[in-house]
Amino acid sequence: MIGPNLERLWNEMANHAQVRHSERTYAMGCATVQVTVSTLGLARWLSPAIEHRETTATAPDFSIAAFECASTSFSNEARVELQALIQVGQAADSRFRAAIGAGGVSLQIFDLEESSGIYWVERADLVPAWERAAPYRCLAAWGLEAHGLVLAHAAALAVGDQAVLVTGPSGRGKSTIALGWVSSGGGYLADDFVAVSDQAEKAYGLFRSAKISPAELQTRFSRLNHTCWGGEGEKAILLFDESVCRLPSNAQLRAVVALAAGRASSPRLVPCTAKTALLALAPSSVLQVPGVRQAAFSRLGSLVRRVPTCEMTLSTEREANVAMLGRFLEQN
Amino acid sequence: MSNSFRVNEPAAAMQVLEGEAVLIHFDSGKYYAANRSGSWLLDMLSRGYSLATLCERLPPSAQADVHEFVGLLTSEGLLTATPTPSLLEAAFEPWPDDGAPTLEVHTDLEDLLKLDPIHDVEADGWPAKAGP
Repeated sequence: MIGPNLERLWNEMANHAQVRHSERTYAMGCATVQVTVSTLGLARWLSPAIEHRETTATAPDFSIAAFECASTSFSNEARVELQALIQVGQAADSRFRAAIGAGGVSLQIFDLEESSGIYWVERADLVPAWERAAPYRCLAAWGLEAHGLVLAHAAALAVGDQAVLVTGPSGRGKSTIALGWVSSGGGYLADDFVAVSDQAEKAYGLFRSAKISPAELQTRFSRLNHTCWGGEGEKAILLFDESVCRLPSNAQLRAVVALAAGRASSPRLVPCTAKTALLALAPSSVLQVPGVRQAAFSRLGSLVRRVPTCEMTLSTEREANVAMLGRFLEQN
Repeated sequence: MSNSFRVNEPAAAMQVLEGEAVLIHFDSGKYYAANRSGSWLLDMLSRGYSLATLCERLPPSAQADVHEFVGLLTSEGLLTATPTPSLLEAAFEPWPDDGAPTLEVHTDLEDLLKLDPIHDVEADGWPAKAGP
């Protein structure tokens, strides 16, 4: 009888998640989410990257409760039992969506019936750096699914209310071009994860964070040093506010730009097929959010059918890359 | 070889864009691009045409390649045999004939499922970071 067990464990988690240090409401994409966090320690890691979207709106569209073992009596037995819950919860047509962080230190689970999610981590200091930079990433994707939004693995860069989605595999240059964009005064929606609507052809910034290697921060973006919020291993996390760059909540997408491999003496931006753009955009987007993969693949397919698609070969000259994207946005 | 096939959902999915197919296998993390001939074949199979019906309309020289291509797609877990042919959409597009059907295989994201901080749980319980 897995069904009642699922519900019992969900209820048990929900009871533990009642411990509240803070309760805030944030605009997230085209929806609002109420987030309750059980301890100051947890809030310290999970709130900064989204606090720019805090709102006074009432009647949130979905809710998230974040808690950790230290502030509750959440039992180890229940944690172990959750394995079964999550395995069953993977089905896209089930009531629950769930994902586990590497090593089992964190868990995200979402109840579609209640439009509510739970983020659990064993201890606040174990919140991994990537979850500090993009907190509640899967929960956001699951909550926004009902609003027609999908999480894309891409940078999104704006001029006014227009934006380009820049996509490509990790290491291809998304973050570098995003930080170059910020340094030259452009609007910032994302360097890594952004919500997109295929129907509205819009990008929605969720997190005010960016990630870059400490060496590149020092050598190429030292004027952003003061935005550094720590990091882990190979990546420093930066947190932007309006004194650094404009942080629009959303922008109309003018193009999906796939970053090509290699470097040229001067940047090249040429139209490409929707297939090329989808190959660059979809796989790493959909593989990182379980439970909605089919739907996300379909929506991203729809997006590249509707929005112009280009391929960009970056130059070794950072400023030239940024200038070319800026010109493109102004002309389109 | 079976006669009718469909995309192996929900383990895999396909999008056909301007006559070019992109496929992804969610369990393996592999993704694929087919050339126009291969995309045509995938499109027609997913519309419910049987392999035998399609082969009847192809030049004889293409038939062996088509069978080989379907075998490859099946072995990659992208297509699955379906017992009951169901013609979902009767529109029949002409064979593009840009050579034998081929499949570009991308494996660069396979490790994402093993190493990415957020991923599906494995059948044997809590996932652990892959070793060095």
